[in-house]
Formats: sequence, C-alpha cells, structure tokens
Amino acid sequence: MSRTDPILELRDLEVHFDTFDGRARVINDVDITVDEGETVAIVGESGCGKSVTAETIMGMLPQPPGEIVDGELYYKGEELLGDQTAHERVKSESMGMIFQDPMTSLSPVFTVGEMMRDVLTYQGKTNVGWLEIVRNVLGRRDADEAEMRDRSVELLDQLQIPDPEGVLDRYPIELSGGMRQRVLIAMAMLGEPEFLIADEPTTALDVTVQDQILDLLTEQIERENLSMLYITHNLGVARRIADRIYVMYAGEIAEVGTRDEILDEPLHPYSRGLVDSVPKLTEFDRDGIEGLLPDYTDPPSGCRFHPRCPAAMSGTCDVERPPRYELSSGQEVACHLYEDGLSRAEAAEIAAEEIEFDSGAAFEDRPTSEPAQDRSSVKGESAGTTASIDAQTPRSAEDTDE
Amino acid sequence: MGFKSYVIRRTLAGIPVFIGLSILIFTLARVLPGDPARLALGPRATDEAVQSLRDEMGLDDPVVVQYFDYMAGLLQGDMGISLITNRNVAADLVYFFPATFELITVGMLIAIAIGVPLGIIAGRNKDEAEDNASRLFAFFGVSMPAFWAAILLQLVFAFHLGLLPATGRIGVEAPPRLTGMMLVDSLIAMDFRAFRSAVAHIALPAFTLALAPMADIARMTRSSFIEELNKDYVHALHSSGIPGKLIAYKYVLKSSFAATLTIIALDYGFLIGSAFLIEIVFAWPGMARYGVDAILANDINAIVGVTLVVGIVFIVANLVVDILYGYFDPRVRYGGDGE
Ligand code: SF4
Repeated sequence: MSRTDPILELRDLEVHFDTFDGRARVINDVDITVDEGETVAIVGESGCGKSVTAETIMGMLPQPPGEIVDGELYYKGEELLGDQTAHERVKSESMGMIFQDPMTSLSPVFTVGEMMRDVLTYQGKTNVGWLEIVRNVLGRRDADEAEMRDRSVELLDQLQIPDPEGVLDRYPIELSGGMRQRVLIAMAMLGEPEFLIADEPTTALDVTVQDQILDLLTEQIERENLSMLYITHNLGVARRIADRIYVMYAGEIAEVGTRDEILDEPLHPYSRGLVDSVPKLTEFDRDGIEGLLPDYTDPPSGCRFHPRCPAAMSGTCDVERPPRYELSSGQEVACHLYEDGLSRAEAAEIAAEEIEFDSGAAFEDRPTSEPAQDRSSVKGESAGTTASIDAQTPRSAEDTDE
Repeated sequence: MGFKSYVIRRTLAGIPVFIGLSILIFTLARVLPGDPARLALGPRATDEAVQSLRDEMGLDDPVVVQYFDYMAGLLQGDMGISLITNRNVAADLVYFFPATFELITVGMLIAIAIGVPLGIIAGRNKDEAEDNASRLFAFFGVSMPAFWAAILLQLVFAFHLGLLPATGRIGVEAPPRLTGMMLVDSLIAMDFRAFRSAVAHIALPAFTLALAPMADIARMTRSSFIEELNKDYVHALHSSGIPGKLIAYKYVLKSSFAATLTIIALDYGFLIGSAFLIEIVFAWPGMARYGVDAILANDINAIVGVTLVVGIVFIVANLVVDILYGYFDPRVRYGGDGE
C-alpha cells in the first residue's frame, strides 16, 4: 500500500461534553489520517469515542452539549472545523455517510424513490427557498426526472437489489433490514462522494446479511476508488475491510498500524487484549452519546488504560501520559513500554515479555481493590455484564431484522 | 393493498359505528321522562287527543319497533315531526345545520392555519423566544373560556374598533340559498358584496371558536415536530445532502403530522359542542338554539335529530382523519386496520 496524500486529516482533536456530572473530556488528542483510496477502520468498544469522532468529521456533533475544544480537520488540505460553511459545502459535495441502523435511518413516510430524487436534486445545495419547498411538496416533477430515476435504478442494481424499479416506489417499511441498508448505501453513493464514513453499518443486521453488505460496500469502494473511514467494534469486520486500523481506547488513539500489524501482532496492551485472547468486553449500549458518560469527567491520570493494564508500571503509567511512539515500520503505539525507532521485531519481543493477561481474563471486572477501573471505563462496564468481541467473525447480532 | 382499499375499509368501518350510535341515541331519547305528546298538546288537551297523537307517533309500540320505523323513515329523509316547529326534523336540520357546519369548519381551518405554523416555529426554535411566545399563546388559548373570549373580541373589534359586526350572519341581502352556507352561496351567486359581508360576520365567532383547538394543535405539532427532528433519518437525509429546511418542512412535517391529525379530529367533534355556546353569544342562527329549545320542550324527534347530526359529524371527522392518516403515513396502511 503506497502512502499518497491524505484526503482527510484530523489533528489534535479534543472534544468535551457538558454533562450533569461535569465536563467530560471525551476525545483527547486524536489524530486520524485517511489517504486517498484507503479504507481506515477505527476499532474500539462502544463509548470509546469513535462515533463522536465520526460526528465531528461529518459536522454532526450536537453542540451543545458537545464542544470541539481543539483540533483541525483538513479535507484535501482545506481546514473545516473553523469554517462551518466550508464544512457544509465539502460535506455535501464530497462526503457520504452510512448509518448504523437501517431501520430508523430512512424516512418512514416517503418512498425510496422520492428520497433518492431529493438527494439527486439538492445535493450540493445548502439552502432552498420557500417557493422551491412548496413546489417540491406539491409533487413537482423536473424534466430530468427520468434521468434521476435511471441513476437511482442503476445504483440499486449495483447493490444487487432485486426489482430496483419496484423498490423505488416502495416505502422503507416494505423492505427488509438488509435491503434498507443497501438503499442507505445507495443514497450515500448518489452524491458521488469521494469519502465515505460508515458507522457500524452492519451491526444491526444478521450475520449472513452483514457479509453481503460488506461485500457490496467493498465493491463500491473499489469501483469508485473511494476513501473510507469505517467505524466498528468488530475486529472481524475490520480485518475484512480495512487497510489500516486505529485502535481507540477511552477517547484516545492507542495504536495505529496496517491491518496485518494490528491484527497479527498488536503492541499496545489494550489492542493485544482485544486481539489475542478472547477478551471479555462489556456489552455496551450502542446508541448513547459517549459524552453523557460520567466516566470521562475524571479520566485516570497518565495512561487512561493503566487501571486495567497488566503491564502498567506504577510511577510511570499512572503519572505520565504516553506519547505515540513511532516504530521504524511506521506503526504507532501510545504506550510507555516502547520507544521511537524500535523495529517491529524488537517491539514484538517486548510485547511478548511484558504483556501477559492472566488466562484471558484481562477485561473482566476487577474486584474493588482497583476502584479506578470503573472510572476509566465506559458506561455499562461497571454493570458487570460481559460479552466478547469476536476476533474473527462478525458478531452475531441479537437485534436482527424486525 | 393500496390506498384505495384502505379508504374503502375505513369507510365501511364507519357504518357499524353509526348504527350503534343511532341505537344509543334513540333508546336514550325514548326513556327520557315526560310524555312528549302531552307536552306538545299542552295541559288542556283531552286525553283522547293525547292518545291519538301517541298512536300517530307510535309511542306505544315496543322501542325496537319504533327504532326500525325511525330508521326506515331516516333512509327516506323523514326524521319525524318536530313538536315545536311542526315541520319535519330533517327539514329543520337542513335549515339550521349548514350555518353551524360553516362556522365550525371555518373555525377549524383558522385553527389549523395558525396552529400548525405556530407549532413548527416553536419546534424548530425549541426553547428560544419564538418557542416561549407560542407556548404562552397556546396556554392562553387553552385556558381562556370561550364565552369570555367571545365577549372580549366583540368588545374590541365590534364595539371599540367597529371593524367587524358583532352578531348575525350577513349584513346585506342574502344570496339565494343553495347549500345554506353563506360563504359558499354568495360565491356561487357571484355576489361578492354578500361574500365580503359573510366573511366579516363569520370572522369573530369562527376565530373565537378556533382559539382552543389552535392552541391544542400548536402544542401537538410542536412536540411531535421536536420528536421527529431527533430521529436518525433526519441526520441521514442531511448527510446525504438534502438541505435542512427541506428536511424539516417536507420529511419531518409529514411524519409528525399524524399526531396533529388526531388532535384535529378530536377537536373538530368538540367544536360542535363549543359552537352551541358561541352561536348564542354571536346570535348565529345555527343548530344551537334549535337544539336547546328541543331539549327544553322535550321535543323528542328534534333531540334525536340534533344528537344524531352531532354524532355523524364526529364519525365523519374521524373517518376523514383516518383516511388522511393513511395518506400521510404508509405504516398505517400496511399495518392492517390502522388502530
Ligand atoms: S502506558 Fe503503561 S498502562 Fe498504558 S498501556 Fe502502556 S504499559 Fe499499560
């Protein structure tokens, strides 16, 4: 994979949320780079801040309660966080987003065709006049109606939706979850974006459908040579789709590397825990805004992972925040165990020596002897329910089709 | 299963409701105390005269028989003779009802025309000045007694400002009666002077009538609008490039309108109740005085007739709203009977 110019670059992002418990420092110094034509995955538990990151990039962060305290977002070199108009423009011209829940992400009261027609008519426009709204609502049909229909049918067809003509005239309620997700992907593709953000788009679907959707998505990405930021808690999905992976923990980047680096030989204790054993991670509440979680109001000092880290060195890890060390291979890891310029082999050796999870139970709730753990973790984790992140296959969804 | 079959299904479902309603009203009227024949003829009538009137009205038949007689008559437009006007109740209703119908319909249109935008403005600007102002207004609308509002409006607009007439339906020669609704009749007759006068006369009573439902509608529109604005599809549509204003006034409005419709149907039925009061305050020659007189005189056929009309207005309002419901929200159409 050759590194070209980044299409998207997020620098030093810091996002806070005002909560009842005080100010939650949810995103702390996050940098993300997506190169042209590259698919990057952000992997982490729910509540780690990955959705907030996506919302920031899409300019959809609810403010308040959220607040972007610091950071820059460059899209092809143009800074967006400081310029809302530019952000709106770039977003509607070049970005597309695929959402998590296909059941609720389509308007229930309009047909698929009507929505696609509006996307085609208005993309790139940030404002419309009253007259236009009235004409639209009254069912005005443009001269290029047939053209738009053809374009929609073509896209639905590419996404292997049977009877695309018929689907255009149907309401979302008449379609299955998988079909709706395809429609959502088609809608995101309608604007001919260069850059896609996908926020766990397969989580709400059952396993076989997940596979099909991933295949279709990959196909689209390759055909149109898109860049994509794919957000997931599922390592199996990341393995299938990503070129590079960012592992996020508690609002920080723990480790960055190519897919194989991260999945075959992770260095950060947290990623190691994710990948290595069958770590027990707490099942999460998927639709909560992370910022409302009280845990971020008082994050652990030093390395945010230290209360749960088996390799934590007292006096260092709980005091000093680890910088992101860059190995000679380009892999980056935010952990005091390493230092700049190590080779991968050296680093792997350190990892093997230092990081040891007792029988894969690294992520189990610790007894009260380590109270700080609760504070460092995310909502629900202290509740004690456990579920695993499956390292190989997409998680089978409990919340499947209707 | 399309929209058409949904409409047919809903309409047919209205028939048993009507039958049930008619049975209820009819039976209740028959068990009212007092002898309608005696009341009609006065205390000095002979027993034979009363008895012969009772026979004529079939009052000694079993209630079931009376009911079927009545329904058979109803199908031919015969609702029995009113004891006070001595005319067929059907003819009386045809005479009085259009005025009331015109009043409540104009009232409801005003309520919708003001209430819905008010709710949207409030919803889009949640917790800001616009929102607070519209909530304050809604609060007044709900809590102000209609007769008091009526007198207030009469004082200001008719008495002090002299802008609008305080009472009556029309101030010039009335257009030839076709529908019984002045606004419609004057338009049909192309008599714009009469139309203007009719508009001026209906303005105050209709607006008074509109206040309470207007406030209801604004509140309901606001809350369902806010609820819809936070749904996933709003973000999704926005991210696929549809401008926020179009999303709000097309997508969100249509989804949230179902809740508003429910309120409209309910309020429309209640308007007939409030109209009785308003008609008296504004001397509006509608069904109100006729109904009140009928009750006082125990004019049994007129009571049944008036009550039946009120019931039918309720049923039809709900039917229309049900149908609109299905139009606005396909989930209702596909969800079986939509309840
Ligand atoms: S910095 Fe220390 S606590 Fe943090 S992950 Fe590394 S070893 Fe563990």
